[in-house]
Amino acid sequence: MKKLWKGNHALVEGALAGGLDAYFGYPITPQNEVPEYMSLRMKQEKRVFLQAESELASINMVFGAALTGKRAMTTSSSPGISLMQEGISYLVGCELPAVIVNVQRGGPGLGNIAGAQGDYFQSVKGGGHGDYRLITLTPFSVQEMYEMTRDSFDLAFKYRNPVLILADGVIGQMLEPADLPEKVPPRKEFPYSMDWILDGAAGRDSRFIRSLVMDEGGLEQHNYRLWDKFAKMEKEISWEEHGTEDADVILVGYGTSARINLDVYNSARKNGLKAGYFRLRTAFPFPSKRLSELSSRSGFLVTEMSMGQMVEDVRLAVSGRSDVEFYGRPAGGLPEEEKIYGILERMLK
Amino acid sequence: MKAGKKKILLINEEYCKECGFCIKFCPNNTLAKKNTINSRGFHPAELKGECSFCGICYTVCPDFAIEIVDEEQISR
Amino acid sequence: MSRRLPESLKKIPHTYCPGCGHGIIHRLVAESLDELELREKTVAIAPVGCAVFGYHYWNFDTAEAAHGRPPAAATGIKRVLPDRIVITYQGDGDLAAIGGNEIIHAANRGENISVFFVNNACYGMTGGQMAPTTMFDQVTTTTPLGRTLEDGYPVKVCELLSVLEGVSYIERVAVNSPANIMKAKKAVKKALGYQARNRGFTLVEFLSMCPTGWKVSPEKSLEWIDERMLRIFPLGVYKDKG
Repeated sequence: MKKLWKGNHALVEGALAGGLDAYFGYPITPQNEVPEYMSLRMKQEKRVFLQAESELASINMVFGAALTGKRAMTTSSSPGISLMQEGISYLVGCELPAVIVNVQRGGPGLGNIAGAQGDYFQSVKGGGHGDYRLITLTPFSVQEMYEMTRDSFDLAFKYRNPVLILADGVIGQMLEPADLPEKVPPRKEFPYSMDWILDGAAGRDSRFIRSLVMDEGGLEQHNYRLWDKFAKMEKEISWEEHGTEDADVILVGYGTSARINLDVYNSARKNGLKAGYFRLRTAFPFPSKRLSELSSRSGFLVTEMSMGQMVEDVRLAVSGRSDVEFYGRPAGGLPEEEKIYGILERMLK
Repeated sequence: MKAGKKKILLINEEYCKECGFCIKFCPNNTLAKKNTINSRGFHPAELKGECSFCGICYTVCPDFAIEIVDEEQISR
Repeated sequence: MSRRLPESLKKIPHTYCPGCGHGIIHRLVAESLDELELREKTVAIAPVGCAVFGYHYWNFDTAEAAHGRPPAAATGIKRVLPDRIVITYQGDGDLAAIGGNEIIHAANRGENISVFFVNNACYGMTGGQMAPTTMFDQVTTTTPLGRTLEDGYPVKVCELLSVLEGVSYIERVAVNSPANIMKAKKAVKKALGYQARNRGFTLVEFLSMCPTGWKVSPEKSLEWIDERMLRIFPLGVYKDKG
């Protein structure tokens, strides 16, 4: 049954449904409902909640819990996620599963507390040091805040890689009807090998987990292995599209910008315009192939709550075969429907 | 451990880095630097005289190079 | 007495410099885990610094954390596996400089972990730069004329942390003589024993030789601790809640 839920609360329920064992976090707006609600829910469900002394500590506590094969998570917003980049790089280097949520706000710097989408590059191009990628999920509704968080643990363990949920302050703060189970569903065990965890060398050889690889050529080989894994993540590409079969221009967005695009798309279609709608559900891996296919007949209008980040990936996918236009607003400004509609009309002429 | 069991001081010459701690602290002055070098270029410690098997050399050795064992453990 | 190397040590030679105290401290930790029969229950966090390679030498589960973050990583482990023995092994840069915040908060939470803190008054791995525990007038590669007041005072970790309520046991020991090494071993066992009995946060600080960083011979490095470090870093129990 659908009930009114706040995005940040639905995220907590999703984490519980995904079998979260331990949450570590540090308050920051606009995601404070997560640690607040989480602190109660984890106690109720007899799981681990700890308010850390900083985001550096949070991500490294996640690192510690992840070493043992437990399902660990932290959440934050843009400035806090910047602080976590070192830890995220170590998680990838050590091949540890974990879930990190970024409820994005305006930047750069301390910025503001409005929802924004300025952290796309940081999320999908490897925000920390080294050559790596994170599976990046982009929820678009309160329902998806629940579902994507729930399913992110399976992905993290499948690839032994951190998964980032790239939300934004609008989705986090939004109240809307969502269909969440009354009770936390039973924990789903994953079919993946756990022969790497550190839990005390009882009845087996001792193990170590590290990201320092100093032997000649060893780090290069380690990187090739990681990149084989990142290539396999292609299987997880997910998106939603409407009206693309006969669209001359397709609106492309993710999260909150996609919600605005959806309204524009619906009005455009009502008015007989040949518009299409495309939104990312995964930002990494990126649906390049599908966008490339669509570029044989359609142009694209990309909207973002930034000055243009995801648009670069669209341009790479389209590779000059059709027009790609961009409209965005930074620092918590919401793209205006009328503006998007106007550009769409102009492009369709 | 029964008294009277024969003990042996084992010096793993390849592990030794010639810090001299065992020589400095040996209460019987029975340890010295060997004239020859190991594969890493260090003069390892060697036993020159009677050892009382007090274990001080083991205690101060930073290089895991010294052990004191029962003779029967070795022959086994 | 027989003296066999403990099962908690792998039987391979290490790469620390001649006279370096890490080998002794590694062995003390390993011996203590063996004697308390905790090897199979232990998960350790190695630091960034010379001892980052601890996992090559220890025969128990070990991971390496980002610089300064071992107390946070250890917290993560201990919170999800409270019946395991969780230790961090950290140098002075790791613990007292970059990781100052993590160690204070882990101690203050009374996190039930044991911290083995190796103070050799310099940054060994990166070539002998100033550490937070470098002493006045001590020459390092970044205090070529000796540390002065402009660089701040040497950080006294035991004194600093012992005022925190969550701390159950803190002792400062040295590894520069047979008697000191035996006392150090007792301290390690005490810390691990407290953890096994859920007494809260424990820390042992080791004054340890760094002949390379101090630019003295291994033998001189033993005296260096007596002559230079003990005045600033007195040995002893700083807290013991029992």
